Amino acid sequence: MSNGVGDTLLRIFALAGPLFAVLLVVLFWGMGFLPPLAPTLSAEALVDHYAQHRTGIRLGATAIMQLCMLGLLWTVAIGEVLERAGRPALRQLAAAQRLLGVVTYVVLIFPCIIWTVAAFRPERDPQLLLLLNDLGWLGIVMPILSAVLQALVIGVAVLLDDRPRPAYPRWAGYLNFWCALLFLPGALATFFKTGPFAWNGLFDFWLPVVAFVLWICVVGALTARAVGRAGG
Amino acid sequence: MVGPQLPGEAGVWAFVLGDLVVFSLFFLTLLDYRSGQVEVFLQSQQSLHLGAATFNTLLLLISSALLVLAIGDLARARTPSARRWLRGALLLGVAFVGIKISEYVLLVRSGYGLTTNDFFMFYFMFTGIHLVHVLVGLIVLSLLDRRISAQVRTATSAAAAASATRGGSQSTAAVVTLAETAGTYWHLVDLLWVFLFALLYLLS
Repeated sequence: MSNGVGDTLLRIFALAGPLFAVLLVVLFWGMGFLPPLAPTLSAEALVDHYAQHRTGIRLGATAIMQLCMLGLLWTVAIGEVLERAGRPALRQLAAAQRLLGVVTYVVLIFPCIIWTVAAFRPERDPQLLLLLNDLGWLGIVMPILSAVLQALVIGVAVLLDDRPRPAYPRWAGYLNFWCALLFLPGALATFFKTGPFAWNGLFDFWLPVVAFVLWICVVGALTARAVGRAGG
Repeated sequence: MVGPQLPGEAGVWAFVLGDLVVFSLFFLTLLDYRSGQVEVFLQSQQSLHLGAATFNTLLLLISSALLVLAIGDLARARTPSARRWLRGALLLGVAFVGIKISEYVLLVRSGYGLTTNDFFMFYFMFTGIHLVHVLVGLIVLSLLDRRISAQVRTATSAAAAASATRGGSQSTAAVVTLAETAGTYWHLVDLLWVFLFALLYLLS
């Protein structure tokens, strides 16, 4: 049943996700991105923001582009817990979950590179800063389907675990579906500069961010709990 | 199924609650934006296809009712009749999707889109997210149909053995719970559409 060092590592992997989620929020705040910059901000206002938060943005971008790899450990832990259920369907879902998890977190590297490039040369033409800032924000809000599908796959796997003592409680399956729904609107952020569906809006930023942090923390904690409990 | 117990499994009710919270936020946001530009909203509303949407509302309501009949028949082990109702519910759901997409096509051809104004932004985003709900519902109902077929096959072979009373009733209970869970979700999809219909097509 118990797998000693392996299980301990797996628990650490599972909790690496929540650690990343908390740091992500703190670093975003340090970048002056909480609340997020409005898509309607003028080039001059952007120059001011980047001048004021130059260190915060470099620090945040540097840290997030490395720390997002913690999300992969979290993904591995979930995959292992699903695989240990010993059901063929769950093994397939675990495989899908792993691939989708790689994309979900690796995609976070690109907006960080763009933001740090934007902060790199203060003397740059404000119009180019405007361009880089758009790239960074649309780049982090729009490619969301990997997270949507990852949450759906985890949710389906949770509900298909028909053992007497399943790895996850069934409500966690529905929580995953709910988070998938909340992530969805970001995909269309390119169509709006103002309003609730713009990249700084209620449905494209605030709710998805809350759902993302909740998702990583709850699933991470449940995964750490499941390791070794229903294993074997 | 009797007494204070909720139909379906408990987790689906947590999802229903969460989904209602999200859509309540949708509706409040819409009303907030509307209050500043009532004229734009009323004028844009005229371009929608009220007849098609009314018909679609009826389709979803009847579909929900058919599912109730299906679940009732399942609980009474009248499987063939349950499956007819279930497939009817599915068919009406598919018709809803077809009509909804036709309305999108007509609107886009008339030059309306996501970015036309705030009304159409809400219209396309909210009905689009609702449509995703309908598609998920159709998948769930299809899976339910397959599950019932599997159960019928098991029951037929078990009847030959003539000793599967306990196992048979257990799997019936599981299918009924699954059907109730699916039904709870399908009613939610129906309810959300009724709110959307009222807010987008009717509010004057």
